[in-house]
Amino acid sequence: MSDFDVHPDEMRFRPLPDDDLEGVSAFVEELRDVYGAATAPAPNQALASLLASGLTTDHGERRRRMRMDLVGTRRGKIGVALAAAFAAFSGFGVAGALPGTVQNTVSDAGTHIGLHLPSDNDDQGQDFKSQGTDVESEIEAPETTEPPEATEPTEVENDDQNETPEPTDVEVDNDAQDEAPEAPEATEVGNDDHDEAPEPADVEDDDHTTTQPTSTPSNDESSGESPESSND
Amino acid sequence: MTPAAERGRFGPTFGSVLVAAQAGAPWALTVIFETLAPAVAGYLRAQRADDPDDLTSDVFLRVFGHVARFEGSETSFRSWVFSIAHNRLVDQRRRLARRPAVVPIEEATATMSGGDTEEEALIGLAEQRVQELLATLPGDQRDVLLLRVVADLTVDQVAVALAKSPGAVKALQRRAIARLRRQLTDRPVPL
Repeated sequence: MSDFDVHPDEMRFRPLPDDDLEGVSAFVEELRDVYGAATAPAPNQALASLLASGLTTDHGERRRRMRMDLVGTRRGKIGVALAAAFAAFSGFGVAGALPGTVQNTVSDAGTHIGLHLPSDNDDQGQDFKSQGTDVESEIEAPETTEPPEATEPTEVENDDQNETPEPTDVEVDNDAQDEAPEAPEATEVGNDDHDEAPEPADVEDDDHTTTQPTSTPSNDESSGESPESSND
Repeated sequence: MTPAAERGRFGPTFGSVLVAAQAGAPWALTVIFETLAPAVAGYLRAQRADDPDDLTSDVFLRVFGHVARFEGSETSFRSWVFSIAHNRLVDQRRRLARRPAVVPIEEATATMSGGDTEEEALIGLAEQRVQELLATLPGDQRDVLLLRVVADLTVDQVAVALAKSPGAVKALQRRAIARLRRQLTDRPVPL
């Protein structure tokens, strides 16, 4: 057969040039005879139904079918279970409703990805904050008075007056802005400043002693995160 | 079956068949299956796939599942279908390597007693001879040779299907034929 007998489209599909087949052309011919089946095999049930009904172009139906296929597999089931567990844990974790150790673990995990989740220590710390911010400010007031912040001198004054800081803060804040919730925020900001401020003090303490007698309870009370973040 | 399907080519109708298949028309899907399934099944059979007919259906289920996103000519469509076939074959081999298939004794004996007629026996002998020679080839050389001969792909198409460069495909083909030639001369097999 000459090249002129072949359709130009088919020329592209000529599998192997004859010069390549020297010595193996008989084998190649037999390979074609054995495996070059002339008819299509019978489709299996799934393909037969697809060939009969055609493809669905409804995206909702396709998505639903894909979802069912995914959920039907073992990997899909494991994925759904993990997602449900994660959702439940994160929901309870945000609400701070998990048992103590689990809540701490979730909170630590959240901290690593930049989420601030309440921990069991936070709950205790908040109690201490509400009751013990004055204690902290009493202890650390001489150190925190050094940074030039407007609110801290008032706290120092309040410290001098012993247990009358909240009314004065509230009054000041109310004068400034008519937003009652800001009063606790002001104390929290003060606590954050305290959390940050003791670090140089601790360094100084470290120079002298290996223990941190005053800062250790305050760190535990305020939150368990600042030491970890400093360690990190 | 259309004449084009008999030759394993769509020809000038490919564009309209593809558009209809992408719209989900059953007739277009059937044309694609009838045109390419024989070559796909032949390739999978030559590769000694487990249940090649069922795997062929699996290949076309995958093809039809993604045909809506396909863009290109008949040449690239053919390459794409065989790349799916080859990938499904590799997946099946991995799966079977992890968990070998258990064949019931009834099926095994039925397969063994399948060559009742003389013609089937001759085909079986020919297949045995071909498989003996194919077994002497490394896997990548066998892939190239079967895609070139059984699937009728060009070097470029094989390169696309196997995710290799055309130069690498040519080199593998050359080595496969050289090895086969040596086998045939060293150990003559009656073909």
